[in-house]
Amino acid sequence: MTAVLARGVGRIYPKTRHNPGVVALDGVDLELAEGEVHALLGPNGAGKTTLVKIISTVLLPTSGTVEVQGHDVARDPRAVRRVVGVVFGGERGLYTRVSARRNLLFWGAMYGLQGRDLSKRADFLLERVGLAGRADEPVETFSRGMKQRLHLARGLVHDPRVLFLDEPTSGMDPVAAREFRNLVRELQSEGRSVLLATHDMAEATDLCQRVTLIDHGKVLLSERTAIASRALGSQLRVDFESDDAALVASVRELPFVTDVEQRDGPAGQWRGLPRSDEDVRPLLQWLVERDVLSARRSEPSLEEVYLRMVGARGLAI
Amino acid sequence: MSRPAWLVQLAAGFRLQLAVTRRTPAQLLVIVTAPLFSTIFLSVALHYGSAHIIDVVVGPGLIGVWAISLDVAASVLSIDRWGGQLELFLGTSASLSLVVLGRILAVSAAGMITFLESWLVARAGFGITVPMEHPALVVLALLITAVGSAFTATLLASGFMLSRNLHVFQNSLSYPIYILGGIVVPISTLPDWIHPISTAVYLYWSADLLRNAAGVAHPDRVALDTGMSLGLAVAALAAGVVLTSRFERRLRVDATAGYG
Amino acid sequence: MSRDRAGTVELMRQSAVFAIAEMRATHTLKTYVFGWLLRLVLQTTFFALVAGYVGTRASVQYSLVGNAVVLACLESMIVVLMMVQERATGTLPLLAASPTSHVPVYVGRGLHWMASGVVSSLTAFILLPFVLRVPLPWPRAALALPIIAVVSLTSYCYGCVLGSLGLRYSGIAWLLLNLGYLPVMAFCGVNVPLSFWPAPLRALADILPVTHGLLAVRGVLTGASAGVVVGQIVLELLVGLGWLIVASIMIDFVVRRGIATGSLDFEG
Repeated sequence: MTAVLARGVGRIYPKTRHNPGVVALDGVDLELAEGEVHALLGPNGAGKTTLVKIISTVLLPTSGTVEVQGHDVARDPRAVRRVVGVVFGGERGLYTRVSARRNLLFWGAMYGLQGRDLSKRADFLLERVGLAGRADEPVETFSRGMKQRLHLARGLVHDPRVLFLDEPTSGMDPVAAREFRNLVRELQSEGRSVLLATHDMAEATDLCQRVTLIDHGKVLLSERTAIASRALGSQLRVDFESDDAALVASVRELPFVTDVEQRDGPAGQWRGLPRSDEDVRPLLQWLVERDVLSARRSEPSLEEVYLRMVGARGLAI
Repeated sequence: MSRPAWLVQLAAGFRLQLAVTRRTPAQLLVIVTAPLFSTIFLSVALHYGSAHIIDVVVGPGLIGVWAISLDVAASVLSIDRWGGQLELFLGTSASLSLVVLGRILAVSAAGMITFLESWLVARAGFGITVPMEHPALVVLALLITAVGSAFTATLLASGFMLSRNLHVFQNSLSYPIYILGGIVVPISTLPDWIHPISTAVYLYWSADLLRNAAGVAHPDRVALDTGMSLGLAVAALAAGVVLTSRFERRLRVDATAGYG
Repeated sequence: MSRDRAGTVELMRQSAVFAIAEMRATHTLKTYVFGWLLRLVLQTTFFALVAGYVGTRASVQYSLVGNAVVLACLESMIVVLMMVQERATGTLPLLAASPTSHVPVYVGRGLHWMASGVVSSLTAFILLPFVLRVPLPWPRAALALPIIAVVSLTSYCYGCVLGSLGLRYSGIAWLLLNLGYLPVMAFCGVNVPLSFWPAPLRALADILPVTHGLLAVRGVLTGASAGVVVGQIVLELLVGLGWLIVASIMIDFVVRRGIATGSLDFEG
């Protein structure tokens, strides 16, 4: 069974006195397989958070359907809530004046846990996310990473099989982020399915088996991470380093090469674009014969895919 | 041995609020200012000959419970909304009105102490001991006032969330209620046209109950006062539950529920 | 030196303009009247009714006059919240770094509440005696109106002192407001005459705002001599001046200390 099946999901925010009308999502299809970690990639405002909210029954779609483990989010939200855990990120959503333990006890009660079961579960989760030592201190004294771990514990309080993480490692230092990702891997090994909204390429490549790229409310790409780069339609390239301008010019002149472009970074880094995949080998050979031993084949990274498809939005949002 | 879901949610809200208030002492401001109110009332009563001492001692207690409930009702949902907790809450199947009620109850109950403060100010500040003829009834009356205040404040909390404008009228819900509820000055001394309006205010009935419990030798309207007070409060709560689910539904549909 | 003074006036004017804009943003006429003014008028009514219940008709008028005048004090004292808000918005470090004095900025912050206080007070003073059927002696009563404006001013200065405490210690703004205002309501002759209280409390009342201004108002209403009334007005003004001087010193002190100890960017 698929964990989440979204078909043609649309979400329009109606025009009000304070906001112009906005189409947040437009005909989105998404499939989260059982036991998979799936990246939902996109820039700010792309619709990732809206989609996560719809799937977790916090928001109703204006069109389309979403099924979570076979339950429809609009018709049977209670059943969906039982199996879904949400981890929204950052500072919001925690009662900062009270302790981590009190937060968990409260949310556990909201999910129907009580008595000894509830306190045991809280203890277990605090231990699991590494907060047991600070469990009784007010959340406002926690670091960003600790708050995020508490968010995760909160999302797991009712033992959901499906988890939505909304930019969980944003604002975290690298060590904390890596530890968090290990937690996610552990969760996956327990058979849970995870939808991870992020705009961290490395994280998506590292953790996720599939990636869905979304922008302006539309799905641009939905593919296995390993082969997502194929979506660019572009094929393999040959990267090399050289200070010899004449050599670079000659590469350009080669019949089986369409162009040579400069790569980002320090000077002298080049990328040769062969006409087709078959022309990679001859180009490599040509370069090696001329002692350009740095020549190597390369595939577009997820970051390139992202940048190419989303385009140069820059700061003009 | 498992408790029913509604009780679990109510208790969870109650406990959460206890923890929050412990760290946000500003919410207990009413308890600090109550003795000054008592001083004002008592000075007036004593200056003019100490008639109706019971009324001026009981009054601040009632004012305290209502004021503190109104105060927290006005803020609990809006703080949660802008703090992101409301969003998370919508992902659970718990009842928002029950949790809000539990939270307000914690504060209303704390407000009961203002009655004791009032009694102490009379005793220590002015040398007047108000004899508690029926202490058990006094406690009952205070509890009913606290519960009634919490129920009514829950209705207000959802009203505040649905309409931005209503919030500005929050200020109008204190003194008008004190007058209409006959909290210090009995309704009988006010113009006739006010009487019917007063009977719709739960405080009118619980004020009567508390006055009788504190002073009169044979409180004969206990059943009526208790029944009316609780009845009105329950009606308010029911309306609050309805409004709250409307508010929740609007949040899910619009993601705005009346605010920009 | 005159350029400094012009700068001070300009600063206060700017603050006042800003404050008015803020008030416009929060209230429409309807919400102001029914959400705020009504509440204040009913507060006066409440206390007047209490006095009538335990006393006589005369007590109603006594209480009414006192509580109507004290409304001007209540609203003026909201400057405490305004000043603390100024700190919370983080402008304090910016102000401290600027070459002008910060005192006028803070002092100017809540000027519209002074005006609002006078309006509320006058509304209660003019309307309620008719409603509660204890009419005041007009046109003599009109002399009370400028006195109420004076009370509003002196209460504002008092509020500025409390506000400076709020700048220094975070989180106590509402506490300061209430603990500053309620003693005035209790001890300054608002609900019961000064003679009701023991000597130490009378001495306290002497240096609080409202006490002398209210005596002046009551003097006007009972036809006391001009000398007596003017004497009380002068006393009230002196009280206000005293609080203003203290406020000036304290605000300056708090900001200097903040610069020295690095506590300026602490948000309240």
